[in-house]
Amino acid sequence: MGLRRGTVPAAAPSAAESVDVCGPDWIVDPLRNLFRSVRLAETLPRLEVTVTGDGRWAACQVNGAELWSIPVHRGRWLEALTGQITATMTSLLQRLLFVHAGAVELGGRACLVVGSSGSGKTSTVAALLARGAAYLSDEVALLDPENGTISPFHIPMAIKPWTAKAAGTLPDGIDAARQGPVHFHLPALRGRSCPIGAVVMLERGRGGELARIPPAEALIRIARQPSSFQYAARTEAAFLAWVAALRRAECFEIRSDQAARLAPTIADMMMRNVT
Amino acid sequence: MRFLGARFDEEIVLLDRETNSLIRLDRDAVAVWEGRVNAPRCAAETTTNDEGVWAALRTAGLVRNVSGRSVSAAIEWV
Repeated sequence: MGLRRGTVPAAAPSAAESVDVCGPDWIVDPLRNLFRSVRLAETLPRLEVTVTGDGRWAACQVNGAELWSIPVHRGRWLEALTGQITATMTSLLQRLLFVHAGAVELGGRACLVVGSSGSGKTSTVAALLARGAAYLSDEVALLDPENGTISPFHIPMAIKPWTAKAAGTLPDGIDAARQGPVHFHLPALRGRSCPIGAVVMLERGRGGELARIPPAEALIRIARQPSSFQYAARTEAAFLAWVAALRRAECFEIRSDQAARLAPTIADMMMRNVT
Repeated sequence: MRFLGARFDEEIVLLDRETNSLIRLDRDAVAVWEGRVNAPRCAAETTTNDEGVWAALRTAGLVRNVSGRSVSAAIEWV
């Protein structure tokens, strides 16, 4: 099987803002599909990703310098490479600020769903989408420090069987790619940049109520997530931007192993505050 | 200045520029800090457990009866 070079229009519209992937067709094509809908409100340097012909090793260069070289897990290469490329893109941001979170738009404002992997972010986002929210992001929420808006990162959601079960009904959309039991679902209704309205922190546990928390606590918990706070050169910018954003937002937490069940409560809260 | 500070209602979050750590002071800690309560209840948390952060916090005046220094002199409020 031959190698092919494909351009992933990740940070498009211009080709200069894209991710180049060189590798076998069966890797280049699904990756292209996953990043096709992503448009960043910031121009990134070109990422050159090279995958060996057997798909077992991948490397990334930016401006001729190697950023990483990793073995690729045979059974979950698509999810792994998508996550690696996404993480690389966020590490290169100079203006936008990122946090590991999902985000939807409801009533013209963004609701961030923040939590560690396995806390129920994707199923909660999917459940909110099923109630009419517009999709902003699943893994990476982007805060624009110039205007305090949440900027979309429209990469398809990685839906695992248990995610789909927890979410109930998946929103309308298309499956951009599939690998084993995981399908990458791009919701049809996609949102635009909008001011932040609420932050919902997810923690596994029992309780299950949507409980208000102080914004100071939300700020600390955001800073503990993979985010721009972890980059020393960006910590101060992240602090200033999140302080401003959280002064305008309502902050909550859900301690539950079934956070998605509270999507109706979250949606009602967001819509109640629409003026 | 070493610290950036933000007030949220009754709480305060500081960014320690030297360690890149965030320090949250809840309402009890703020009361201590502002001299409204004498008991040095350290109701604060940080994004690290670095001992240096806690030393900095004391230096900045969280526990007023230890340092007695002016808090505002070390903090740029936003």
